[in-house]
Amino acid sequence: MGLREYIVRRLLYSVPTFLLVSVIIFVIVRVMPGDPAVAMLGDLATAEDIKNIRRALRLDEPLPLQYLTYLSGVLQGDLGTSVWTRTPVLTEILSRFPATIEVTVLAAVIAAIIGIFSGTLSAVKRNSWLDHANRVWVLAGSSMPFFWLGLMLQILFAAQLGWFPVSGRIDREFLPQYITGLYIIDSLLTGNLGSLNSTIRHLILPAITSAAFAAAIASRMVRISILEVLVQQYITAARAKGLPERIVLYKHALRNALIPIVTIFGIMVAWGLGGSILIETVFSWPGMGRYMFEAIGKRDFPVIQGVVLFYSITLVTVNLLVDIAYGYINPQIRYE
Amino acid sequence: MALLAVAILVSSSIYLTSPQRSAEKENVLVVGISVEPQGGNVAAAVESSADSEVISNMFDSLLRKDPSSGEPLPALATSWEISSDGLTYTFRLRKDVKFHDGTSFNASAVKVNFDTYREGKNIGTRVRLLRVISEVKVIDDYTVAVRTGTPVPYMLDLMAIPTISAIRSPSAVLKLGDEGFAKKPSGTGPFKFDHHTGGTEYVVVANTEYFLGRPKIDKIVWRVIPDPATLRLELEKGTVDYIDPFAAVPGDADALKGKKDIVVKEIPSWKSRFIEINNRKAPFNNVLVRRALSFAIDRDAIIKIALRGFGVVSDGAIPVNMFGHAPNLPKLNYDPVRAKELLAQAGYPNGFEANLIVTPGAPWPDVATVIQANLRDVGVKITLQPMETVAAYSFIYQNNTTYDMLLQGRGGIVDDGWLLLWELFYSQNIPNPNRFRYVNPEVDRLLDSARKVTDRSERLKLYYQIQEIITRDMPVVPLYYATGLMYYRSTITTLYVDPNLYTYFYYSTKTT
Repeated sequence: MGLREYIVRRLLYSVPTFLLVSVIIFVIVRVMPGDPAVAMLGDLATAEDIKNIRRALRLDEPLPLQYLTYLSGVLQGDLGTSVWTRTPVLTEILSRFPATIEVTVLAAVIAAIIGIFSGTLSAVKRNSWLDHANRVWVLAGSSMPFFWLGLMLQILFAAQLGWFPVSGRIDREFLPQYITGLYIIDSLLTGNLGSLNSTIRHLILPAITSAAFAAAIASRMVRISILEVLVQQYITAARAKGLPERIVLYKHALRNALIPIVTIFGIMVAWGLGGSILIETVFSWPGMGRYMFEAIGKRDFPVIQGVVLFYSITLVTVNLLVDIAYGYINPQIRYE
Repeated sequence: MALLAVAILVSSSIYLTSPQRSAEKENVLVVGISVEPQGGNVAAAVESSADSEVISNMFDSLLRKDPSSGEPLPALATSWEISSDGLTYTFRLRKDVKFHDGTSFNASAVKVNFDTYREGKNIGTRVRLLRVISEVKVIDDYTVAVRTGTPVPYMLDLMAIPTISAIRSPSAVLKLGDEGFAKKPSGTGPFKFDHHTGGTEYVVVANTEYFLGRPKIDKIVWRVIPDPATLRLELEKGTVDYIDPFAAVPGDADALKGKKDIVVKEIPSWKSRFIEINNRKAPFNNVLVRRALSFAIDRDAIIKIALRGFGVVSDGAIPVNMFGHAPNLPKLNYDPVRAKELLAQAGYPNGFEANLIVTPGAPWPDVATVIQANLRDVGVKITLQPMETVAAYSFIYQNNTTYDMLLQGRGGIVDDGWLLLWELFYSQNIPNPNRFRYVNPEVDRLLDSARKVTDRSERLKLYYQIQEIITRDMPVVPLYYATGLMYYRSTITTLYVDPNLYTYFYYSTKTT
């Protein structure tokens, strides 16, 4: 089976997934206690006002009918309109998605680099003080809650040392011209160094906070994976050939050890998206996580549904890309 | 690896070169808020402190409040007359006012707006108060007569609060529609809408042609910072100038008080806090039980422990600083022995069990804990029912007859206790806002007659009578009058915050 056929089949398989996600989230927001009309009008509204709003929002219709209306909209690329801002949900999502993606991707890259580097070191210098030190930071990295680590980084690097801003995505006066919404790309495309500088300074703390957990897990996985590879016979053969240890390690061992690591890149992105709610709150980051968190507080049903659906589409896509990349790294794998 | 190298290179080069602020000498005031403003249209404004604050700074009403006394002053209207029956208010309007979109302000603009608000088809939560208006008549280009169906004691106040009676540019509303206008508002106020970046900031700039004179601040930036710990760091760093009362957390006050560049200020509000009780459900349908609950509560402890000292022990529903507060109400004493006696008299010598709904966010959980301990001392076993705010309100809408107690309270909106008393205790306001389902025909009668009395001192006497009855019946257990907290950099010299806790930046100055 060719690659194209494989992709098409994978995409077809994901259709039931999306349908299931849309049903589940549709039901969850409606059984969750709290009414959007009450959220909008506050606790002083009369019963009549509430009834009117419910009718205007079409919340008084039977659930199956509401779902079908929603689904037919989604199929036409219309995720509905925010109850609060009266803006199309898709427009809002697209304006906030770049902010989340910028942190998530940078965090995944940082996590991969730190994870691979420290994991390799730890495996090669097994049971040395380096390995022990690495174990300590892996434990710390995987057990620190996001909001706590974020606050500590803010206090140290932003408030005390003043190296980075406390929160926000960019300084107001450096907003780059809008092209992709990804400020790094936009400022590079327009050659705006002030923007690039401001963007990166704002990105570093949230990205590190987001990366900490994934980096720790990756470090552990790389270590185990390399240790397993190092006892394989072809490594012994390579050493017997008289190859320098450096070549044995980086050319033969690491490359094979990395195969399982690639698969967890997808998980890292999933983890980053899930964690974005906390990270974006701590760092006042105008992304999707906070957008959804605020929508939950306001019972903005179309927004919650839209973001969850969008997240699931993102994850399915990332996993598909990972599987394709996997095939490139390991030619033995067939698309079946 | 190349990527890493680039990242390290770029980040190391910027460590020391913090971005150079452009050389603008603009006087910018950055306000840290926890909730994002959604839009600037009173007709579409949902119940949100952030929307109210931006609206208060972009729009005018016919009148405005004197920042020191709270009395109505001329704004878009230069003078006003009230007819002898107290029903018709004739306003003479300024002739030199332009909306931010360049169109002129006149009497028909007043009519168009008030007609929209009073018809009540829109969802705006505050403008609903203008449903008391029965007719708006344009007398000439700069004179307008507003008539109410029944006398409204607080009418001038309604005319002085932009979140209730903002005058919007009629041509902009017509052109953009309600939703479009919310995103690009146009009023006559001291500040003009500039831009709104979703999730980040809401920015207004000085209206240089403002009819009372140009504001001293060039630009106000409301920065959305949902996490209180982050917000505090931004203030300490100087990247935020002011944390408004809706975002200020009492827990930060002690730490911030010690900083030399930061001012911590407590201001009175119109927010009255109490335990709401389902008055028709046993055992709460017995007045002795309700009084016993009041005697069992140690209000000083609530203020000291749960509120960290910020708050005033309350003696009724109307806050001390609001017109109508009865000064001679009996003090609500902490007397657990008396509470036990009353419970025994009511037939509950061993107390009873009940639920108390508590919403999240400071200070509610802490207040609830003190109440729970207090009531346990007199044998009343309270189960706390934590519910997210919207869930709690929705629950009570749906379970109005079955809930036990809710820890909440109400904020006054206008400087006249009549509205607060009427909303809370008038029997026709069951099931909402009178969700305690309190009925007393005498209170209904007094409220009906009080609204018709135009003489303020005569009206006060009726208010006092109502409050005495309320204290006797105890349909709610009053706890405390909340105060607002403001944290700001000492570079700001004036901040006018009204008792609704909205900040009006027209009066502010900031040294750069």
